[in-house]
Amino acid sequence: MRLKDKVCIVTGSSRGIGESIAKGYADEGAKVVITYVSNKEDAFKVAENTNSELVLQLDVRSRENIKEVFQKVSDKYGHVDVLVNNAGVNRTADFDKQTEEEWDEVIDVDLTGVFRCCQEILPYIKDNGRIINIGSLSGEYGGPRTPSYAAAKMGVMALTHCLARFLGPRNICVNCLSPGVVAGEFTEQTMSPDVKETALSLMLIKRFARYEEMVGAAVYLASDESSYVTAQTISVNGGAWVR
Amino acid sequence: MAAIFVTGGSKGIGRAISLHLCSQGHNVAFSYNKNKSFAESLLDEAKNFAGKIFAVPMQVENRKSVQQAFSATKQNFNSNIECLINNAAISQEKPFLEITDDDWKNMHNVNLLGPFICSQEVIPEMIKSKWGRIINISSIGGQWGGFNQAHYASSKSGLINLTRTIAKIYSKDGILSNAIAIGLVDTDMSSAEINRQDGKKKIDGIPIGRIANMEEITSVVEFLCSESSSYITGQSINLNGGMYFS
Repeated sequence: MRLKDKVCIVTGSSRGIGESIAKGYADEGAKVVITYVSNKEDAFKVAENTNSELVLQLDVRSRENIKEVFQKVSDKYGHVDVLVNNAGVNRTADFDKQTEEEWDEVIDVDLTGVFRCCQEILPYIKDNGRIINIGSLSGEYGGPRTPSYAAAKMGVMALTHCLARFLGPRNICVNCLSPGVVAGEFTEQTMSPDVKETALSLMLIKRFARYEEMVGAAVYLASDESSYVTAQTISVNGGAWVR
Repeated sequence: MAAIFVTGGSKGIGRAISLHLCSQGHNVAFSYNKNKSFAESLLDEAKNFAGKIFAVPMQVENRKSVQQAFSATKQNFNSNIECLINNAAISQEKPFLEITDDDWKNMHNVNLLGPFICSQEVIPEMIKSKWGRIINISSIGGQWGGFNQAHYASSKSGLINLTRTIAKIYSKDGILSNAIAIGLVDTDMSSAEINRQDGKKKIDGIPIGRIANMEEITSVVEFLCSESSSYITGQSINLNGGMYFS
C-alpha cells in the first residue's frame, strides 16, 4: 500500500482520468475525496468503488466553493496529503473560429481553477505533501484545434514550476502529469476522425492510451517514492511528443 | 522469470538499483569493470533477497565483452534480458581547454558508445518477445551543460537523444525507451563536487534544498521497468529536486 491513509483530493473524479486516478489511489490505501461539478450520480458510483467517505460538489470557477470543500475535507480528516488538479473542460475550434466566450470558459476552469485550488489548499496540505496538475499533450504540442485548451495547459506547466519553487521549502513536490490522447468519451466528443488520424501518426505506440495507463505515474507522483521529483512534467503520451 | 541487466552495478547508483530490484523479487544481473571486490560484496548482500542475483565482468565499450556478458546472463537465468539499465558511466572534471582528445573519446566510449552497443545487443530478442524496457541513466549535466565537464555533459546529452531515437524506432515493437536525468546525488563520482564551495552553493539553489537519496532513484527505475509505465516512452524523467524544470 503505497498511499496508505493518505488524504487525496482528486478534482473532477466522477469520470475519465479523474475516476481512474481515484480508483488507483484507493487501491493503494488512500482516503480519496471525490469531487464533481454536475455528474452527481456517477460521482457516487465512483465513491462506492473507492470506499470514499466524502463526495463533494466542486466548481473550480468559484473560490467560495473551493474554500467550502477544502474546509469540509479538513473537518473530516484534519489535513490533506495530495491534491490532484484534474477538473477540466475543452472547447474545440480552429484558431480563427474560437470565440472569446469559449476562450474565457476554458481558461477559467483549466488554468485559473488550478490556481485557485493551489492557493486555497495551502493552509491544509501537509509539509511533504504533493500537488499534481493534470496537463495535456495539447499544451506541450500546441494542439491545432484546441487553442484555449493548449494555452491553459501550457499555463498549468508554468504554474507548476512557480508553485514548486514556492513550496520547495515545505518539501511539497508539485508536478504535472501530461496525458496524451486517451481513448474514451472525451476524445470521441472532441476529436474528428481526421484529427484522430493525425494524432495517431505522431504516436510511437500506435494506439490511444487507456485511462488505467495514467494511474502508474499518478500513484508514483503521489507516493513517498517521488520525494525528489518536483517542477517536472511526466508525459504519458505513447511517445507522441518526445521531450 | 526474465532478467534485468544493470550495467556498472557494483557501486553507486547501479549498486542501489541492483539491490533494490533484487529485493523486489526480480532476477538481476549486473556488470562490473574493475571492482570485483565490490561486486562480490553485492552478491553477498543480496544472497537472501527474493530475486536472484548474478555478477559478470564487462566493458561496456567492447562489443565482444558485452556479447559474452549477455550470453552468460541468459545462460545463468535461462531467460532473455527484458530490461536493460544503461548505468555504467565515468566522469571527469577538467577545464574545457584542457580536455584532450583521449579524454573526450574515453568519456563517449563508456557513456554513449556503451549504451549503444548494449542496446543493439538486447533489442533483437526484445523484438521477438514484443516486450522490452531500456532505461538510460542520464544526468542534469546532459540538459544544462557543465562548466568543467564538457565531455561528460555531451555524452549524457547524447544519451538522452539515443533514448528518444530508440523509442522512435522500437516503441511499435513493444520496446519502451526512457531516460532518467539525475541531479546531484552522493556517489564516488559526485562527492568531490558536492563537498566543494561551489557544490554547496548549487545545493542551496535546489528548490527541495538537498541532494537526492538512492531510494528516490531506485523507485523510478522500478516504475519504468514495470507494466505500469506501458504508455511512457521517449521521455526523460527528471529527478533533480527542481534544479532543472521540464
